[in-house]
Amino acid sequence: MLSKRFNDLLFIVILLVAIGGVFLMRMLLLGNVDDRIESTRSDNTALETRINDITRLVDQHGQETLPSMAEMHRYVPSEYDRDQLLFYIMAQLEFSGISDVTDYNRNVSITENPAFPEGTEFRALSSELEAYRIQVQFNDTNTDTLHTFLQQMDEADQYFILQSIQYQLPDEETVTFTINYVTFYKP
Amino acid sequence: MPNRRYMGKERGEHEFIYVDLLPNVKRPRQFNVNILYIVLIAVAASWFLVYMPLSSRQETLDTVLEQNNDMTNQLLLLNEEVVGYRIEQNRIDFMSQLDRIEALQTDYLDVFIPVRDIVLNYNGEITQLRYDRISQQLQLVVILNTEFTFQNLNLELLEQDFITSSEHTTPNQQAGTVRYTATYTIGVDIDAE
Repeated sequence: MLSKRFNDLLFIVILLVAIGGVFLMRMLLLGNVDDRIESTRSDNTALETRINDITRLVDQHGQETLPSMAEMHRYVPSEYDRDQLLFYIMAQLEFSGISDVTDYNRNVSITENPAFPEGTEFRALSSELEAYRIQVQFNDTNTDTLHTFLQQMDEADQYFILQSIQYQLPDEETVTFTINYVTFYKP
Repeated sequence: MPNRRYMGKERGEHEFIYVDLLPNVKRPRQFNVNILYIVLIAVAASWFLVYMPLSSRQETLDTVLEQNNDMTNQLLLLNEEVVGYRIEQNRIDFMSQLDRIEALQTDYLDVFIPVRDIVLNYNGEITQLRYDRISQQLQLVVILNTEFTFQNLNLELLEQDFITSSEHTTPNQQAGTVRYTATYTIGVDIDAE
């Protein structure tokens, strides 16, 4: 026969083990269900965001007819070809009367991935698309040819964004015009 | 073996040895009521600590799963709608990029020619120009005949819709002439109608 003291001790130990088991069961079961609730809630939030985005998309563009990709690539071409671009700019200079045979001393250079100041739209677009800076320089005695060239470039289908113009007009001397354009390509 | 026990001499008269002649057999273990307490406590603890919170959480889980199911179906329907309307995200994104690029385009001559005409009205001359699309600034070095007309020119420039700011440096007299030079820094609002 077990002594009464030992019996009481055993009772307490078994009781503690039983209560510990209950707590362990609680921890495991509730932990598992809590994890599933949390994970499903997180899925629901993601689904809700996606649904809202798509609903907005359908509301905005449901009835709209967007131009085809080919049509849009007329403004921002897909393939960059340095020679082709140089040829195009040279052709626009020729059309504007800035011929290679006369003393215009024209020069066209292209910079790939040019740097733009932080926080500007140029910078934002250059991170999404391929950006190229085209620097055009030529000499003349007045601004007429410059204006003709600018108009000529404005008529192009491809977007050429005028970034800067710089010149100095000393008396009766030739002036060097420096024009910077930025153009984009979407590969 | 029989159990023998000495019973003692309580009154001093009798003295005997108690002899248990019953055979020494194993008797069934006495029912321990403590087991019942433990079971009852375990059941009660399980009920309050496990079953009740679990049942409440299970309800929450069911609700959340139901919402998940509804939203998944809604998303499927919306995706079908997107396919039906032929909405392509890449075309929309490209179109948005085109709009942003188009917004960067400015008609420089629409800005420069009015400014040049105003300067000419003051019998002035532009000798140096720097236009920057990023800072939206037009910097001009202007020559005028009199010193006080620089301020008048500045005021007239500020009256233009497409000019947001205009300031000039202190006019300097050109060496050997009666003409003055100053640099104008003109803020240009490219979106002005």
